[in-house]
Amino acid sequence: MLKWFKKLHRHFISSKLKQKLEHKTSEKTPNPLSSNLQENLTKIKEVFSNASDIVFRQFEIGSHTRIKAFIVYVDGLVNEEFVQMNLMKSLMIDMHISEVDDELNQKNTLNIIHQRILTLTEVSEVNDFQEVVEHVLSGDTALFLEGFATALIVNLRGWETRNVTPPDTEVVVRGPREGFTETLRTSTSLLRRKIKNPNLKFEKMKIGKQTQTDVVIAYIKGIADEKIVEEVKRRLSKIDADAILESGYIEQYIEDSPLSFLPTVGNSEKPDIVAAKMLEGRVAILTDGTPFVLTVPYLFIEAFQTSEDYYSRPFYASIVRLLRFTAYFVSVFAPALYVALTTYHQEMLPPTMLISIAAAREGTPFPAFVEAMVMGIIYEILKEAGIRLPRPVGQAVSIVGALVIGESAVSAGLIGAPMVIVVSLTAISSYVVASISDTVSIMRLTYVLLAAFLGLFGIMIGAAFFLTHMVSLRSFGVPYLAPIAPIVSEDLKDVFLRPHLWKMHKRPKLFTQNDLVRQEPDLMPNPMKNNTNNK
Amino acid sequence: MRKNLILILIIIMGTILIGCWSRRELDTIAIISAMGIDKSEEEGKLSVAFQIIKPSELQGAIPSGAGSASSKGVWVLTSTGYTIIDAARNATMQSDRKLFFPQNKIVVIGEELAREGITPLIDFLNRDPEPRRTSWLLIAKGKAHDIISAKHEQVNIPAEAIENMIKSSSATSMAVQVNINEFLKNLASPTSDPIACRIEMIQDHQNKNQKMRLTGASVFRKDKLVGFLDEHETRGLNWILGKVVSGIILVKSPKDENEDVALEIIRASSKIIPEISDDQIKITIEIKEEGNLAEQLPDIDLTNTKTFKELEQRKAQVIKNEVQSVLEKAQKEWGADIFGFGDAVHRKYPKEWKTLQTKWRDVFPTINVEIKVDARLRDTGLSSAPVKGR
Repeated sequence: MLKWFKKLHRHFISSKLKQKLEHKTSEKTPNPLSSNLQENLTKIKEVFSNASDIVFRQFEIGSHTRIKAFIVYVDGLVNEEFVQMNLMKSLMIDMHISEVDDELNQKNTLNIIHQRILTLTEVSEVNDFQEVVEHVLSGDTALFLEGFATALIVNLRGWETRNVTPPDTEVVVRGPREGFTETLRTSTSLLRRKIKNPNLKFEKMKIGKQTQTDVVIAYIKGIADEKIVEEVKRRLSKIDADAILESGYIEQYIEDSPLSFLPTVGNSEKPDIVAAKMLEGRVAILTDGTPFVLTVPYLFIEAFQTSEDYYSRPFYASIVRLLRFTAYFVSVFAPALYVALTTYHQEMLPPTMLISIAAAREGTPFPAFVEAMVMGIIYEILKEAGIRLPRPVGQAVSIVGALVIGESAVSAGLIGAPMVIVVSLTAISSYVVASISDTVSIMRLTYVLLAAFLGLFGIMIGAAFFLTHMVSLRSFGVPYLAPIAPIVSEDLKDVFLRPHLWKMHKRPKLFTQNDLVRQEPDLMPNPMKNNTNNK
Repeated sequence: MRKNLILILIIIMGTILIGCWSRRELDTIAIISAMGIDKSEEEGKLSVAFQIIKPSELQGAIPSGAGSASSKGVWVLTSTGYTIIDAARNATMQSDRKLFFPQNKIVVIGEELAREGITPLIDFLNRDPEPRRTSWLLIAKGKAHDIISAKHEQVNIPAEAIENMIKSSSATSMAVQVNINEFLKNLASPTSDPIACRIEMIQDHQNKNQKMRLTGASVFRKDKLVGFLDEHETRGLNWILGKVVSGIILVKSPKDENEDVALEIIRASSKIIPEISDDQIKITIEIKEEGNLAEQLPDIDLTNTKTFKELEQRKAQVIKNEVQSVLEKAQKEWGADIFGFGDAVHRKYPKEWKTLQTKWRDVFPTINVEIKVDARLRDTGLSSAPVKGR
């Protein structure tokens, strides 16, 4: 047995080494442009062969000195009207009627076009062939001129985008409705509109060998911990994946404990939430093509804090937060406790309750454990079916689910009514803490299994195991259970209760050591005092 | 890697190989709500009656008033054996389920058996992890089986009714509330003697049915039942122990000796003060009581200071009589120190106690007890004058 493990282990290590060696050979080699226009054209046509969405347009610039040129762009990624009006028109018509035409010669064309002709805002010069191809593929238009080994890259992007709409996840009663979109620029603009501060930095990266996805690291300089920002950059630059289709890909490549079932990277669809997290010193990672923005470090406690806690008054917000903790424990432990109490510790139930449960369980065919497992799995199936199905069919599924599982199973005597109550209570509770509801499912079924084998002892063993695991987790260097374990007394006030905003005059110590002070320590509103001061 | 795999294996084996060794599904246990122990007709054997709850009969049962309640809620299973656990195991021969003791609330012991000593019975209840020591301990005047198999009009599970009767007995203070734990505590004390609740079947005059009733207390000397106290004697005991919570004291009206006046007890407390002088032990019982005028039958206005004083005096006399009667029986007749006099002496005279302890049983009946009652009347309720017809 052990020998077999050793063999497996050795095999594992050697394959890792091979991967590393392969990695080193795939470095970028420089590929400069040629000054011959025709050569560039054939080369680029070769690269884009059999790509029907690539548009080439050859033309001439100038009336006295005629210079051959062509543009390349991807149809559908550029605004054709802008290409016509702002690029082609200015090069082929406006230039002829302006006095620049006279100054034009073979040497200064590029300069004149860049500096004096193009009225567009985003224009850059690129010498590398590979780079030009990348720009064209991201939606820029490339202009090649005869005699220059440089291409002008013009931003005339324009494609179909989704509007800024309220996201389906993270619905709020009070608070901004807008959500991020799939377009990276829209997302960054939403953040910029929240935080009008030059210290808000957007550092751009391209990740994914095939997809070349734009990724932006956003943070507030001076508040975010430099070390964490560096660590985020380091981890992102190490990603050598083929494709980044969603921020989930990035999450899985940069998380601290990929083998843990608990998430150590947070995500949000809402600019106000991401802005608030950045203002506490976290780093956001925006990915092109998805509205889900990652935030790191991500702590366990964040699942229990919602944006609305801070938008509404603190009293009810605190009660709701305590409710969330209760609901979390119910959703994790309720079925396991039910199984443990009814199969091992009947003496712990109040007599009347025991009799009621016993009456309901009378004549049911399965032991409580099987009931709990079956109901738990059926619920997961219903949930999955409900998400994926088209809306009209989804309704039918929920009716069948509610009727068959809820009513008929009980009245047919297949399943005890208390189990149905426990499972539905659990299901509802798990959505109170929606962001970690998927990990709750795993924990719930594990606890049911342990309770079935060992009763309350099993639950305690499981709880000790999970707690040890959670304490050992780190998210970008920050302990996962902080500020509860280890205790950070200053940050603890915003864990179980939500204090007044004027009481939270310091930023959380966990993410940053610099610039801790948010505001003056005592800003409690006191209108009476202010009035007397005015007089 | 290897370490992790081994760890996972250990965890999986640790949970699965242990198996569900103490697992019992709800439909495999017979929940006992009460048990009654009597002497069997066979020599040396016990006969134990188990009141077993039938959950299937209680399904959907709405606890609405009398009439809907049936005797079906429980099943009385009688089994014999040389000890309780022997009888309990023998019972499984007749039951399809294993007996389940933790929800047992009532232990009734027959009078005849109790007179022979109940230590051998209590041992099982104390030693076995399943039965709870918070179960109420009752002595049946007559047979325990009759109590266990008795019905109750209001609830489906008669044991619940007995428990509620014991709990609400503080409204009269004419019964004692003793559970097994308390009984064991008094039994273990070198001087004090234990008491237990007393229950019996009485005839209902209206419909000739028999019904259960708490009728005072039962008194033990060491572990043997020596006698019963009736309801007023029991209140006398509760006066001494300071356990009177509420109740009604009836006195004759000062203005008309044929009419009764009901006085409600609001609060009461007691103090046992021992005193040793010239080797003679004297115990003073100080009882303080406060009450209201609860009900008066004749339409005579009693609300003046003079009649109030008179009522207070009469009330004090009633209390004194009640205390006297219990002292008479327990101290003089049975020699059972159910009042905790020994403990009081021990606390105040620890040095003298060393010599007294061994001969306490002989000393106890000779103690001179003085009763001081301070009874007050505070209030007349919502009306000051009696209801008058024109």
